[in-house]
Amino acid sequence: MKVNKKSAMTWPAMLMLLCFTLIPLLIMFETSFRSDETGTLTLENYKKFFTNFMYIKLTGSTLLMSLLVTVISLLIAYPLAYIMAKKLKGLKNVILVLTIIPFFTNQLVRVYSWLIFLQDGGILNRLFMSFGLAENGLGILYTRAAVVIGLTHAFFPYMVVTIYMALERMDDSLIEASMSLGASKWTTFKDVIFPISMPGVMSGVTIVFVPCLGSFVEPRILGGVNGTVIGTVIEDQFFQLYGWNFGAAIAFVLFALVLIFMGAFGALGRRWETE
Amino acid sequence: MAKVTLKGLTKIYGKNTVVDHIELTVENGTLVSILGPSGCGKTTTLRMLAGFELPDDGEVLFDDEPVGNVPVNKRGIGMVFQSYALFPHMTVFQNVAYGLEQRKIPKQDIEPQVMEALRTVHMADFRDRKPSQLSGGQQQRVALARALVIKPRVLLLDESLSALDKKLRVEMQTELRRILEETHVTTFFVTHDQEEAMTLSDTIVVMHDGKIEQMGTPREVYEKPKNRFVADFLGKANFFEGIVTETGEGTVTIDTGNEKITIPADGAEAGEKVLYAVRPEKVKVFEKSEKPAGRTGIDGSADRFVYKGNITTCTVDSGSMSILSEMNSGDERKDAGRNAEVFVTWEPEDAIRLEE
Amino acid sequence: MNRKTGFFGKLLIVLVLLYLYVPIVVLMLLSFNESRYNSLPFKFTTHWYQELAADTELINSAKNSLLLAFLTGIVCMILATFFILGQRYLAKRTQGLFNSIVMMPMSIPWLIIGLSILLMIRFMGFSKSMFFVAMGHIVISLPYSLLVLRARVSSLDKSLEEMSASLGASPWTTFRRVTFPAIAPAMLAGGFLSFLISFDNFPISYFLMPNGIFTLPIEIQSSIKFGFTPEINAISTIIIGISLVCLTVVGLIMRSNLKAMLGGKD
Repeated sequence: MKVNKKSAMTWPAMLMLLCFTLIPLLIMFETSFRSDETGTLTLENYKKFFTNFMYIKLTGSTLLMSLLVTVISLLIAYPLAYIMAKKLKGLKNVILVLTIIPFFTNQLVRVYSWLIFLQDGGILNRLFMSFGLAENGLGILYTRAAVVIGLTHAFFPYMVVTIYMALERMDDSLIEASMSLGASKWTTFKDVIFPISMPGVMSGVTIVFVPCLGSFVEPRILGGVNGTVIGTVIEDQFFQLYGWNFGAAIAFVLFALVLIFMGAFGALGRRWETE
Repeated sequence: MAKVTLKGLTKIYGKNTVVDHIELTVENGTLVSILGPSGCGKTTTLRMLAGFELPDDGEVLFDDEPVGNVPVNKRGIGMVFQSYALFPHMTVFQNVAYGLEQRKIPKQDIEPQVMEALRTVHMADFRDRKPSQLSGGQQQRVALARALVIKPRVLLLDESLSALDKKLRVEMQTELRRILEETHVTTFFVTHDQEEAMTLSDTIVVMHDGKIEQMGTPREVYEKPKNRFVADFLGKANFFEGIVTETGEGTVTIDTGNEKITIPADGAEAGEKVLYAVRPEKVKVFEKSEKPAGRTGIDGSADRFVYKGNITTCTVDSGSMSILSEMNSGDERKDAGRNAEVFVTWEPEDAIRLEE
Repeated sequence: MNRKTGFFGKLLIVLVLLYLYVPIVVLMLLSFNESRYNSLPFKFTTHWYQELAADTELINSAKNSLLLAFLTGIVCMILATFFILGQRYLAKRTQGLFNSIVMMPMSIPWLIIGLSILLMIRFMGFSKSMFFVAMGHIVISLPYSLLVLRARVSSLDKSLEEMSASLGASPWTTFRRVTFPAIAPAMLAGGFLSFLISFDNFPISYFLMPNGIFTLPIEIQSSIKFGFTPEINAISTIIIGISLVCLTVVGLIMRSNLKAMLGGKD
């Protein structure tokens, strides 16, 4: 086979990925099989994880939280992207930029702004209390709800962009063709618009779901003691408990979950697309 | 299949009246071309027929029933879009079946109907392909099958052939004509290509600035254009305009403002303001030495004779105007050479008197 | 089709924008509030900004963050450009494989990438250093630069380059005169995006930074951890301000390339 010499331009990037993503992942995989006490090869880290109900429960709730954030993001982002791509004319660039700007502001700052906003004695509480809607403050901060609100805020603008791009590319006459063939608005959406925008939806889902699953700062800041997720457990293993090898095993379980769910989303998306 | 009537149909965008009180009746089973330059309102008219746009005034009637309140998906139209608009995520079969599914036709009845439609457009072998695996012409056929399979009352084609290359386009024109004759569905075909309109339609509607300029059979609008716009837009024409000073036996003398010319023509009286059009293929060119005695015509010098295959063209410069002639290449003729002194003439009945 | 935005559409836009901006605006306002505990009534002061200016540790962290972000932006721009141009010459299969490898960090939580690099450092017996932080930032930002560039390069006609070559131009001249001008805006946009991602990044820096050296996000995180102080409001306001200024400047420079910057076709 003849290889074009110009393809060597891809090597620097590939080398970077090899040295700082692929090899580290392999090392992490190997580490996860070493005992934290003796350093010998063992399955005890995984055994410890899967036999402890607390970890399983935590995994479940982290997944649930991430799915919730993803679904909420999709429910907000899709209509917004649709309105921008297909309904608005002059204003659409302004609104697109307005949606994106917070994404370019520091993420921790945004999480922190929610902390300020939601805290007892914070603006939202005062507002609700002054209308007599809550007597002793809302008590949202340091709950799972606060984490979901913060994570959605952090990631959904990206989803707006990916879906917007997919819808913008779509030829409007496809919608008209569907209507002319007798389809209702809902059928047109379900069978034509949504399947065709699927690639945008899929990258949007990835961009929200993956960081949520791996989040640890946001849950800690907004969730307090109720903000324990897999991410914080892993962090604790590395920074508090010095159970690095066990931490690596949990990280690997998390990695596997990401792969499984992304695969499932992909299959789901393709199924909807072709049906 | 329906008789279609447009009553005072009007569409206004901001300050522009894009479609201006159009009146039109099309009998059941007729193939109508709406022909005009871009921006003449032809596509907007079609979209109002389909129901994508709501008229600001006037109404659309199918079989004498107003359809203004019938949404697109209940109107029973079939439409072929300029971009074909095939659903990229569905196979050819699924695309064609889509409209039938919306009509809640039982599953076992869908397949035979889809296959029949695909056979009509010679695409049965491609049922499992995705649109991206088809050529432009094939996509066009599928789009047509998809629009026809639902047995629409009215079929709407929006510049549906313009994306194809010349040879394919001509092929598809013939195909389309065959299919539409077989299905006998009332069809509106929007195009800016006059040749296409001539080939395809029973009736041509020429539109300009939101108004219908003329309507008739292809022969009528070509041979008896009403005004300068129609004469100019359908084919080429030489125009003679001015005030009649004298009339003779098959001749008219016109004061164009610059000069007085006498041309072969009929049907005018002295003092009238007139506009005549002469189709280039009616203009005969003679070498000065062979000038037929007693014929009226115009003297001038011929530019080069340009051989174009079936026809040969020549522009004759009379000093104040230039006259285009198209001659049958098959005719025996001596090439008069560059800048030859020539004489051009035509039969009086070939000078078409136009409205102002 | 109907191009009007209905009542619910408008309501949605307003609600979303409120959701996005209200907390941020509240935070910015509170940075000018006298109360140490973010409590009302509002009394204007620039006190917290003055405190910031005297905080050398914070200023050093800001310097570190900027340095890292610049490095990441520039390296990502170069790597991404090389990769995108080079991958066109790969066989279809290798091309797919290579592309999915470089895009990988986008679908791996950064927590995992940070940790795995930390484990590698330990495994190899190195010690934590800025070098590894930078490398981490580069691999996670690279996919975003690539996304922006890919949109531009896929629309770039290969025959343009071939024509230039056929006219006798050397590969370098071809790049300089034909390819570069065509993709320069996208390169810049891709680099800028990587800059922002690095500047914003917490997880990678958190795991890999040598003890005692901080970036801005780490500083912010530790201040949040140790309690609310309006100083964080102030520095957050400054960061938001700088981001907005950067965005505006970039936006003005490449008005028409806004879409390319956001990762789409243009």
